[in-house]
Amino acid sequence: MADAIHFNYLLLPVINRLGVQLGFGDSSIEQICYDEQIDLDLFLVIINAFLDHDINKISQLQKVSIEKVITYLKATHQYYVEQLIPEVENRINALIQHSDIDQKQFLLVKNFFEEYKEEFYTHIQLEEKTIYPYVVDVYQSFQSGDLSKDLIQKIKSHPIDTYAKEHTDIESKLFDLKNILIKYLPKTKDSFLRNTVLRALFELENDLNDHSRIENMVLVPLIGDMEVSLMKKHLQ
Amino acid sequence: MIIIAIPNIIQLKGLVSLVHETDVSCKIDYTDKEDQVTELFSKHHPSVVYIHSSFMHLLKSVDLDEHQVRVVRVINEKPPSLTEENTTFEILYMDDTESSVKRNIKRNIALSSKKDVSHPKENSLSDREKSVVREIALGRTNKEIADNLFISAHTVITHRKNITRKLGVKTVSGLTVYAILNKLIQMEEM
Repeated sequence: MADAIHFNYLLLPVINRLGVQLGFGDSSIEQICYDEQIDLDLFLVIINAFLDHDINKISQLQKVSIEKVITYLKATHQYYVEQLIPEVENRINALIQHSDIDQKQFLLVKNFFEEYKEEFYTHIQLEEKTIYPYVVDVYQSFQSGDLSKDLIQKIKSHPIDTYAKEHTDIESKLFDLKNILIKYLPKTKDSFLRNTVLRALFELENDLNDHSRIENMVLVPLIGDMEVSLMKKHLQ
Repeated sequence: MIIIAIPNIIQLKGLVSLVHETDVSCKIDYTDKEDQVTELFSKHHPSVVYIHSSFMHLLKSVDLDEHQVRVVRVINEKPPSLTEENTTFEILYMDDTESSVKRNIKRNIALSSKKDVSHPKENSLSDREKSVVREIALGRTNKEIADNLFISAHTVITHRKNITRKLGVKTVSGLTVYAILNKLIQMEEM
């Protein structure tokens, strides 16, 4: 397990979310998963999907139960809300307090991030309150063969495709914020604090990309196929 | 910047896409209309020009030396035997093979004296683009911007694309911050 972290330290929050905390000694991934009662397949597929963006690796997630994938995705949300976003905020505040130039300009960054945060939280809410439950419903209905009228209605009005576009604006805003910090905020004597903000933003971006890869490449096509087959059955 | 001027639209677009395939970083503007050729010249100050032989007369009005332009004459067919022709300009034959057309493009880009990459002004906004950024930051829609600046909505969209490409900023909020930081608008105007 330690080798995996040495290979790419950005895996740290990923293994945390899967239920592994640091201090595991020399244990192998298999051993740790066994001890912590973590699904080994899920663990390996998530880690591989994070390291290697190859669609074939990611689509192996389809073998793992959807509920477990959803649990993982929710844990990533929790990590953003409870840790990463507050961390970015702290770093922005530190930047504002310790900079030698016009604070008004740095306040713009703060406001921009506030706006981003609002949008991001709304998006997370939408996923957790609407999309994920819908995904689980479709999945369970597909497994059991029971198709409720309510679900038929939902498949007709809001198929999974309609949600797939949601991520783009969130990603664009983050991208803009990075460029503003890199290129357009006036120079300061020292970039150290600005670097710390940027590092946190790059980490957030990298993690978010992984998150949306799993959603767009695994959940959306898988649920899309299930929708089609459920509707066919319904029409017969 | 490369300008391509060929009256035949199929040949024109064909050459444009071959240039893209050869050198993706190269900026291109092109036209199939005779009356737009000199306009493109003064607008872009190109480093390379691919111009069809039927448009060659238009170059008389342009001071090629001053602009340091590399002119390539585009000719439909390779003559059956190589005659001693006017050799002032490079030549590209339309019926040449893909690889030799690409070689021609590569050579001419490499030999052109002005390099696009090192052009410092490439990424700074034009005055028009600045006023579009200003309008965006004030929360106006494309339609409103078009009306205020007396341009078409289509032109506004083109400006927006170029602005995003130049600045690396896509969203309205991002452009607003940019506009304030660069004093295109005052905070009080918001």
